[in-house]
Amino acid sequence: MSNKQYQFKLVLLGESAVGKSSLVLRFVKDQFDDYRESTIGAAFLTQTVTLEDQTTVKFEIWDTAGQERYKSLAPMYYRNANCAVVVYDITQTASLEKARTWIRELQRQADPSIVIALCGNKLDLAARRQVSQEEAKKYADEEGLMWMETSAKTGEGVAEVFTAIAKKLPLTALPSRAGAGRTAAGARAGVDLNKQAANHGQNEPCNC
Amino acid sequence: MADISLESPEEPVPSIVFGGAAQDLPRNPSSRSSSRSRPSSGRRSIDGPLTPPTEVESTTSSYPKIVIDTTAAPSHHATASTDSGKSYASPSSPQSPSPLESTRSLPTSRPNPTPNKVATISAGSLTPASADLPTSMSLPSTEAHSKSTNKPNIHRQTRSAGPSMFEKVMSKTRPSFLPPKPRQEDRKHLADWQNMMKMSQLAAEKRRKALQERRLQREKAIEDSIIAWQRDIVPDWRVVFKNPALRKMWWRGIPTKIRAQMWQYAVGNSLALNKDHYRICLARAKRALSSGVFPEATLSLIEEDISTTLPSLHIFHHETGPLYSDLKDMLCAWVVSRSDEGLGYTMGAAKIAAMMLINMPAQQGFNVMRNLLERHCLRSFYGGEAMKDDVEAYYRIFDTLLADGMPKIYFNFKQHQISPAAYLPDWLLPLFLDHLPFEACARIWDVVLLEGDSFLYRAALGILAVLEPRLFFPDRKELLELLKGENKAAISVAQRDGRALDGGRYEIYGVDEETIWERIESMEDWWKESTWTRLIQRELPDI
Repeated sequence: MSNKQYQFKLVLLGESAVGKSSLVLRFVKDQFDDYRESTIGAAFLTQTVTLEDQTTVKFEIWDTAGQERYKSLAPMYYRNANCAVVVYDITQTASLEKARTWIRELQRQADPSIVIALCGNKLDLAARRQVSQEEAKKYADEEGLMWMETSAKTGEGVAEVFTAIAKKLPLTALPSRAGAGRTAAGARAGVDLNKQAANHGQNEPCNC
Repeated sequence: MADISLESPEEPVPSIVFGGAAQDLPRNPSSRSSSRSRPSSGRRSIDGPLTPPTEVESTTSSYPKIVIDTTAAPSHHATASTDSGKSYASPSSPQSPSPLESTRSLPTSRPNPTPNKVATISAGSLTPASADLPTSMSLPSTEAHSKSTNKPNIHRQTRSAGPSMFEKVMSKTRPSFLPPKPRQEDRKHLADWQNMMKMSQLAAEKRRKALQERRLQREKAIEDSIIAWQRDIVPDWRVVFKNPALRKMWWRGIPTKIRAQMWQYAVGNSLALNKDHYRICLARAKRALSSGVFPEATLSLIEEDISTTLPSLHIFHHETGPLYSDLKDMLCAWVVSRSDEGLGYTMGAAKIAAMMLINMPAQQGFNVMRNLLERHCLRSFYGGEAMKDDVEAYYRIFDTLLADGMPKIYFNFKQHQISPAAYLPDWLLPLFLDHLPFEACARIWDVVLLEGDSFLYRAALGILAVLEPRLFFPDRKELLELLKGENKAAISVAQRDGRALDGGRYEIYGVDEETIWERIESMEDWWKESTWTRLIQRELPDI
């Protein structure tokens, strides 16, 4: 397993203004923007995480718009998604409700083996907390989700979310199905069958 | 007095600040004509007399000043006399008996009338001046008069400072031919107006919310119907042709999870393409690309087409779009697959491919796309020169149906010589994706794939029905602009409301899923599938 690179599609879901884009921005560029415009449609970023055993995991992050503008885009988001981060705002009870519907939707529409992480953002505003840790943790346990709290503003917990997902992924998803090795052409060939959307990245050496 | 007029002869329109208007003063037609000429006439002399008194009034009045013209340079206020109101009253305007033309022709250096006369006139002349002010000032005329005579040239800076936002709006709202409003009334009307605007915004917000609510409910109902779908339709989708209830369910929209599957079934595989088709075409395209044989012009057409594909979603953006390279691959492969027929790229294909990629993997989407574009109507529109006659036939069919179903629109189009060629290809080539909101469009696709070409026409007629209230422009150019989704008025309204402009082009006209589907469904009254069949047989006997 060492020195292998895996490539995963990760979708970010959650109500608007819970900080999905900020979370990605922190993770990918280690930046924070106080006045971020809301995402329209989808934004797309990649970031690589290296685990202790030298395994590298490349995330293709699909940052979706929080407004439920287009239900018909769902197949695109969910198709071949290996993992999903469902974000809620710890200062907004309603956003956890929304997260629940997203999770239900994921469980219904996406691949059954998808790794779902529930993520309570805006930990820096803990003074205005409305969603208790116990409540969220309990829900996550019931549904078998990973759960953590983050602050995109301070950066607290952000890298940990993605690392935790990366650690969990190759274990739950078979490498031949989910991972796209940059060096191992054989492994990738297996991926091609199932992962059309994901592997036309720039790291694909050749197709013939 | 002469120097007044001479000081700024080039001044296009003098700025005049009207502080007060004597609402009860009799209007003097001659002076009114002079004031009316102001905007057009560059003669300083005409307006000279009015300026100073009014501006003085404005200094004392708390009511916003109304500046007729903003180009004022301070220079033209350099009246020789500051001692009395008389001195700056110029002869021309109050006295000019003639309408606009004659006023204009007055020499700038017209001799001064007698001072006495001017004094009285200047007061009187206030009225007509303010008469063409949209919002009138309500200071009593006497007060205005006295002030004007007491302190003339005080407020120069304000004149040159230009109008405030308020003035810009207010001064233009009242037609020049109407008398001024009293201040009280003016305030009341302003308050009324603000109130109305507030109410209207609230109502619009409420309407939007209700619409959104209904949309979510509809979507939920569709997603919930998946059980019925999987039980009744998925095993053999052809059952919908026998079972009207199931057909109706299909018309309401396919649940997103099985949309790809249903599309694939419904479109069939008349080309008998196998699973490897995409891979083979793509490999050929890649070889052509890497060896430089792939035509540069085609490539740039593809890029151009992609750049206008669902721009609001950013999915196909050439730098950051996650599906950009997939879309480009698919289009290159599509060009290769059609090259055997001697066909190149056709603008609009990117939209079809994009919709496929959103719903299914490229390999599957490619075959569905190819089979879909093989259906006769789309094949004709995508078929280039060779299919020109068929396209013409399709235009005639559309015209016939339009004349049948919506004769008023048909007649108006005829009068302006607008044939379906002016709009129908724009709609059909991208299968409505350019013009309709995304969700409405996806549902139309569901039915197009099930019902075939006739539904393309129903949807197109539905669009015209929704646009109908806007389709009676007297001007051909404007009408064409509207059909292109570029109506300036609608765009500025959309901008004012803060709506995005990069969605479906007809979204600026308020075309949404609900309205368009209402129209399509209300066509049941007159739409007959047999008419469609008959027309096809008549116009296109060979197919």
